[in-house]
Amino acid sequence: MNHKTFEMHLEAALHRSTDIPADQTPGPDLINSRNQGHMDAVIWELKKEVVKKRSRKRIGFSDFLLLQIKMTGWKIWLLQGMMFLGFVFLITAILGPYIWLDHRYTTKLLCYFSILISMTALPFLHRSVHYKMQEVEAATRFSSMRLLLAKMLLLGIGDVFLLNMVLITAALRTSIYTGSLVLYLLFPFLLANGGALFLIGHLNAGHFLQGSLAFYTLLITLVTVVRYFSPAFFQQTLSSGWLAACAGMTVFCIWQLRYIIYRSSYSEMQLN
Amino acid sequence: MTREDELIHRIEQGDPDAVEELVKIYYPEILRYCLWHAPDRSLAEDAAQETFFKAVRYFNHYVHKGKFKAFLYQIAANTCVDMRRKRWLSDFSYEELALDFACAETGFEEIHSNLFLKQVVCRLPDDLREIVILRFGQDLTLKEIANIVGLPLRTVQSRLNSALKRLRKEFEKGGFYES
Repeated sequence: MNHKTFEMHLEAALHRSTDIPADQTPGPDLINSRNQGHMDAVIWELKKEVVKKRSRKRIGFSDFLLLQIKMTGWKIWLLQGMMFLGFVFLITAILGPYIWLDHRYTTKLLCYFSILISMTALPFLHRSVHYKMQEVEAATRFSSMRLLLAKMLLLGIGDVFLLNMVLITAALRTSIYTGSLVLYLLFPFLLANGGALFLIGHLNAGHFLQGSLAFYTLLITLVTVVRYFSPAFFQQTLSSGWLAACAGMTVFCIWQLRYIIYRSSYSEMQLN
Repeated sequence: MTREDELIHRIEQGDPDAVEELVKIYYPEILRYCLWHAPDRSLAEDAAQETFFKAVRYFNHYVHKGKFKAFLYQIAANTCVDMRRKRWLSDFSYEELALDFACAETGFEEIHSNLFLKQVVCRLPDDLREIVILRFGQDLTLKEIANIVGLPLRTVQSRLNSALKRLRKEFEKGGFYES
């Protein structure tokens, strides 16, 4: 038996497996009455779905974001500010009030601050990742991941505000070169955020909080270790090498964000 | 602009009649595909229905580049896998499926060699069987199959050749030498 004959035989055998003709020409006469009945039922339900989809009030992403700012954005920012103040009091309590006057510690404190600022997002992200905002998803018809991204945007605005406040305060109160201040705020912040985004994308909801806490603890420990064993690290300036490192971390953060969006679309459609 | 392009454009505008036309085009082959993966007809119909529902629900995610068929088949494949995990019999077997088709659908009129061939197809590894079903059961081109299964065209060709080799060997071992 030659290949062609065998393939024809195989095709015929597989086509006879079902009573649905292989002919692609559309038309109700080509499927039997049972299939016709089911197809009609599917068409009927799908038409209702399409009409329902068309008539539902759509909210654009920017409108939704503005709405979120009015409803919950200010609460998020208030809580971030309060958490940040809490960290400031904690550091003062542990290291003493003179820590703020001793400029030798400024760059080290900036590192801690930038990681702690990134941490202020954790309770809100945990809630979104864990509960997936199903009720909002139903109302706005956005995927749960896109809602998470909207929340991350709000948190990002809060983070940028806090970072700028810290930067301005440090610039006014110290004589340290502004580039160095930017470096010790930006790089640890990007590192912390890159790690958090990686965990959102790759960790399941149940382990996100523990994983994130472990990650932040590790980062803070790392800064402390470097502070004791390599203090020269905190005397750098914003050179081209460090700029490249910050750019690399920014690219990593964007890559993780895209992965989160990509995973969102495919996991919902179950496309692998 | 092809007819499919036009229908997709109308569906994007929310035209329910365009959905009807598109379903009429694809329903027979999607149902046939689901019949291959479901333990019985009613579950295959459920899977086919769910496939079209998901296609409409996630239509916004589909960027039309002439690959709507691949989009639909991907959804069907994953719907069948998901349904099998959640609802279908855990001891679902492709071999029994081949027998069921022979006995229930054709009233024992199946030519013996066809039945044997189907059983041999059902015994293939999952990745090879899927390609054989898509190529010879669903009459898709290799390029369409490559888009659906997400593999390069060469890999699909090579797996198909490997599957055909195995099938032919088994067929000849079974004593069928029809020319």
